[in-house]
Amino acid sequence: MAAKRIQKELKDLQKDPPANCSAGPNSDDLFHWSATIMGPADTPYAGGLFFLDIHFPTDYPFKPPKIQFRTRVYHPNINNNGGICLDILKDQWSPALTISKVLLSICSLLNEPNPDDPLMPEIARDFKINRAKFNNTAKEWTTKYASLDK
Amino acid sequence: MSKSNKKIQSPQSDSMDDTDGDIDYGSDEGGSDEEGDFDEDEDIEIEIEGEETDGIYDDTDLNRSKNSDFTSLSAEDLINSQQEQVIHCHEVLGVPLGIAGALLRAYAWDKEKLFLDFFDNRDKVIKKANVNLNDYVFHKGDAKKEMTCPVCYDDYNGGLMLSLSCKHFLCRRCMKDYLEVEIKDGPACLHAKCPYPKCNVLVDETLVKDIVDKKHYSTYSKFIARSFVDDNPRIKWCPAPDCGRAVYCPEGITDTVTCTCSCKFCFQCGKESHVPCSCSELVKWLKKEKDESETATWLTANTKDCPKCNRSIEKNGGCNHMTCSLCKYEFCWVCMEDWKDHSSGTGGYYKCNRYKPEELAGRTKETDRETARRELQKYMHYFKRYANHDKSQKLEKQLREKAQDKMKELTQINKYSSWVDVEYIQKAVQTLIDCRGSLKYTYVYGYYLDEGQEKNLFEYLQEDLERVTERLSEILESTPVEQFDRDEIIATTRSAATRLQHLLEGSSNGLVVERK
Repeated sequence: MAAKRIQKELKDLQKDPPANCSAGPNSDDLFHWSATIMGPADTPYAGGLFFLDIHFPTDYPFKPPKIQFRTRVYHPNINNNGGICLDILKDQWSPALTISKVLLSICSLLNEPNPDDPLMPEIARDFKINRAKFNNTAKEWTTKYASLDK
Repeated sequence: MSKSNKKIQSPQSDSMDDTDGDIDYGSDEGGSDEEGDFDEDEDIEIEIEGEETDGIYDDTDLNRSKNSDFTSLSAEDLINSQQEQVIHCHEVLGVPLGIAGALLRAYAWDKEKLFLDFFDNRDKVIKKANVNLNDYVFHKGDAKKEMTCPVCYDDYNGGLMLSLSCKHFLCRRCMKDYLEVEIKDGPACLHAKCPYPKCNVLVDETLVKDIVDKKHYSTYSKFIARSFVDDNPRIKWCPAPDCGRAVYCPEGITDTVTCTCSCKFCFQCGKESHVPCSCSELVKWLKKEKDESETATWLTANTKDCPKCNRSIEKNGGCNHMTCSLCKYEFCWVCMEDWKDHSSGTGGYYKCNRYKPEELAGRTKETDRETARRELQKYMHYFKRYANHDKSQKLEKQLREKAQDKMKELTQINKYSSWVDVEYIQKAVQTLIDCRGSLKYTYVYGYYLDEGQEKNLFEYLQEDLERVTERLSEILESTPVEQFDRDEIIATTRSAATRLQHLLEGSSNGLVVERK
């Protein structure tokens, strides 16, 4: 069931890739994917290319995929290990969601951080109180870790 | 027979027991049976014996705290009782069975509150429980159309697709898989909703039965049964390993309850019975026990200062009669007082349960360190006694087994005696275990008790109970079985039971209420 569904998702992704994202299996292992997200324009992440790891559980899609940033991101809802605090990756997961929808949600999380439910309280504080400082650091990190030139 | 009667009337059984025995007389059903066993010619004295025995057999007062009733329920009882409630709710509210169950779960099985709310504001209740009264079955899609299942991406004839009242269609296979994964995940499956993102429509339990396989449905049923206890403040699981029963207390306000498996536990916190100390005191105590561990506890537990020359002494064996190697002062290791004032001959040994800070406070100008040490000493005083009873308590199982052996042995020695005749041993052991269990917690209670009259009285009762408990323990454990004196054991058992009751009543009626 899981393999069949993942294969179908992959076909759909190749046929109709979502804007600014790409995803596909690492090698022969269908349950282990890599994905990329382009930093959305008008955010401190613009110009960056962010890599992510995707692991599908064996009972996918009844259980959410495990997704982690492999590139460092300065963001209130993303921790040092690349863990993402996103409701649809946890209790709000639904088997009718897809990787493509999840990647788009992550894009919108980059666009609109959710500082009221932070994974990184200090970054969230900067975001709320000192936006200029937050933007600077986030931009610095984007250049340092996610720059396309590298 | 007459010999044993003499024993009971001997000074050994004190007047306190007799007055208390009176209370028990009336409540006994067994009394007349036993009396009937004796010859009619025998006089009142024999009746007294029958009643004395009954006094011990009737230990319900110890098991039940006043004005609270409780019932022990087996797994089967639980399922029946739960079904009764669901059916009652179904009849009174006129809602389908599956929805009645969901409503009761949403209301933590508080039927009265559910009824009140339902008749007051039906829509609010329905919304709270996420149910749909008019639409709780599976819907099929349009058989004339082809539909794609959003989970497996396969195309099906619409007639093969299912949805809840929200009309979010899924193929049957994916609906089944979805529910089975939810069931595998644990009791939260009782709140399984439509698998569409952000849709809150609850899956009715009758639908679950329709679609999942037998194995998963039996797990699901178990969760439903468990929810009856887990979510219900008036029912608690018995904490004894492998018991599986639960205790129902309609009022929900009681402390100690006893399961059919003879496990006594606190209905409030679910831990083993800890009367007379309260749940919050126990939590504080256990935390303290954890905090005070390691070095400080080891030092205080294993070393003491000589009361005369203050040299630290570690006791690594032997009796409590200590002689300081430096100043040759002789003292008692337990209470640290002069050994001369403190022999068992003077009856003073049991005074060791009393902690007197004023004696230590007599010293002038203490430093902070001394205060801290004194605080630690106070704690260790209570802790050691607590730990002591805790240790004895752990031997409970062994004690019960030994009692069984002794009872068997006795029936073999005397071919005229039946199992009923030796049952007093079992009662005695149970009382001993009860007393030790409570004595353990009297030290927690005592630790948090403020100095004053109440504490003095409490310690008097504690000392008294400890004395009788030790006597009972000695009779039971050190006497060879053929020398067992039935009447002495019965008298001591009742004496201990009475004292335990006094102590528990005293602490719950007077002291606890006042302090709260």
